[in-house]
Amino acid sequence: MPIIPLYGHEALRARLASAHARGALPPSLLLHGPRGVGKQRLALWIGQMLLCDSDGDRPCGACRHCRYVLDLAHPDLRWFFPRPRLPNPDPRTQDVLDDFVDAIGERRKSNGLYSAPGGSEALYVATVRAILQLASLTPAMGRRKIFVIGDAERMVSQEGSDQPANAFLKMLEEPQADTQIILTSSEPGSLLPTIRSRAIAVRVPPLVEPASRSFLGDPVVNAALDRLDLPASLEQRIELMEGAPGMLLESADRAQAIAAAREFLDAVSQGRAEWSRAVAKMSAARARGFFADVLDAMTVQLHARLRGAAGRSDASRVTAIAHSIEHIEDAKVRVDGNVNPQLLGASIAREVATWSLS
Amino acid sequence: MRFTIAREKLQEGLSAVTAAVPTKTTLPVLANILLETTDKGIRLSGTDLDIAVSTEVLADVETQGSITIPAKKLAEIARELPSAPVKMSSAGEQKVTLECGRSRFKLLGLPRDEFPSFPTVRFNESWRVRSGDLQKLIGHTAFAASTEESRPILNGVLWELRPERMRMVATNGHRLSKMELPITSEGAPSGDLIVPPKALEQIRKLFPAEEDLEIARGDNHLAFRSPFTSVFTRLIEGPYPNYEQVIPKDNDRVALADKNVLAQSLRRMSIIASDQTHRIRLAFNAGMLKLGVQTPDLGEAQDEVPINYEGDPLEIGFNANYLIEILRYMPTDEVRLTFKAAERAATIEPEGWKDDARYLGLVMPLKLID
Repeated sequence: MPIIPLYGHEALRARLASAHARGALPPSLLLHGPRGVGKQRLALWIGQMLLCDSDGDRPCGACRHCRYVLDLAHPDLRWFFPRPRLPNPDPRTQDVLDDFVDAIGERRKSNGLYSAPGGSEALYVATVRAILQLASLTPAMGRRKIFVIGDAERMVSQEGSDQPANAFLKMLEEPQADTQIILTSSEPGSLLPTIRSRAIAVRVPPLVEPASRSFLGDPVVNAALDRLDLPASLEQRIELMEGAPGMLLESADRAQAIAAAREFLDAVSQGRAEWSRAVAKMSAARARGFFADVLDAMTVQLHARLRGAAGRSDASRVTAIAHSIEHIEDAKVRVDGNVNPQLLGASIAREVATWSLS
Repeated sequence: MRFTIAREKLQEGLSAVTAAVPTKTTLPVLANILLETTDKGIRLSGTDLDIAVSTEVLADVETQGSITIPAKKLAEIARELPSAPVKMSSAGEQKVTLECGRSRFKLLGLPRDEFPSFPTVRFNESWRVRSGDLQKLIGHTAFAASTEESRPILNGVLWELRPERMRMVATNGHRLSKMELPITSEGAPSGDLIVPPKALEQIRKLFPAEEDLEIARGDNHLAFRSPFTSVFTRLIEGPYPNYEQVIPKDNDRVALADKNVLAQSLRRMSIIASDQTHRIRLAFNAGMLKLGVQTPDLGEAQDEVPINYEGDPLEIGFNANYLIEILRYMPTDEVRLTFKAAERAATIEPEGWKDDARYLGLVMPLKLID
């Protein structure tokens, strides 16, 4: 079962196709933009365009290369993305590739619809070594090799762990003439500056409304969304999606994050014993992903409380809440470095408690 | 498609191609082999897209056709069949019936169209090499290729092809093996290829020593062809390190030693050597080599080996495993070791080898800690 078509991004696609036709497509691209807008799907489309051997418009969608790409099975288009750490602490390339056979199989089974990686999933050094191994070989079927690296900022799995990113840098510094590298990131600021500077950045915007409607009109998409706890009406779904199909797929996770944020803030206002329990309930690892979503939800909820305090002209409370929001924003920066969520949670609880208990 | 084939012939064909069939793949059809009828019999093909193998075996073809069948299951069935003619037929594109004696199997295949096409390689400018010569080169060099994954280029074997000679070189950066053979391949272009050892190993096993092979390079693949079998492999890209500059030309201290006696002594010393460095000490004196090893928290050992050496005394450290490995592949009972100084590379060559080939092993020394 092939992956769903790429919806929207027509202007960007035309620009990329034109650059390719002129032989001006940079060998290393960084597709960046909001989370869930389809950067990795666009990267696969670029790969398909580069491998397609049709005499007409490319990608044709019908040639052997196109069919293999749409089945996520083309040996010259390698798609890597964050994965959980393998049980073997020093896995061999074959172990990594076997793991990706399974991971790609899962994505194929879900027609290319997937949610964002969990907090502990990363592009570890063994994955980068596997990429370098594959990049050293001549193409298997096509004229070139394409490497799509999704959520590339996860090459730095936590603050100070930049070994995978530095290993990958070698490939960007000395690319083979037949190799196209496409990185995607919704947090390009978290990439190593040396990586950022070696790839040409291309912004991928949210989908415009007609493209969103086309996406939601796809029966495969509909079937997948109907399995989630989402509003049934098309208009509500368009509103919820905000031009980012991936966010819709994550909306169930987001609802969970909103509930966790509310529970945490309520616990903090009930005294030290309660907030200690709330902090202990947080994961001791995996700051990225779900915990980051909880922090986002906390910010939204504190903004609502701030508006309430402002309505009551309670200036001291407004100042205190604003201070807490600032504290959470700092915590979000630390989340990029994958700092222990319990430590961050304790720090936030102590800060919020200064006003919520009074 | 309908044909009858001797069970032994079917097994022969299957054993040639199944080694190229992957155990895990994103492309399901690669778990199958492609069966096609030809004028003389059937052609079996298998690939993991790194290596592709295709071989033709004799069969009595009644109706032409082609289909892909699960490789592992067909190989298991062929192994268990009685020694009798095997009748195979396919109805449509997806079902194969196999009959042998009173046994009967029905297998589900996949359409031929889903099987990837093999690389296109033109043989009009090809090298011609005797398979036995190639086996000799591979057998004496491929072992030295790196298994570390940090420098992919060293995971390959450099194969230099010239009109009058061919040479293979492999190294992991600490030890190196090089062999050269004269060939006569007029009209063939010169070429430097970096070939994955896995492919070379398949080629070494697949082609009988007496067969003549044609070898040609396509855009991305290297192809080997005998009258009945073809093998295609992807190559490793990039410039191979300049190994020539590592091979010493001015080593003036020469020792002649009995290979087996030296290897046995090295193996004894390596028992006490560190598991990480495998470092041992070699002290060359007139007529005698003293071997020593000292490993903190474990112990020490000494040994002596009579050698033919007349230079100034020399103390030098090595990774024992690298020396043992190189000695294992030396084709003569006596070996020639050359040195310059304790911090310079040593070479090992066969002594008194009556062969057209030239063979050299090189080991980088380790710093001795007093």
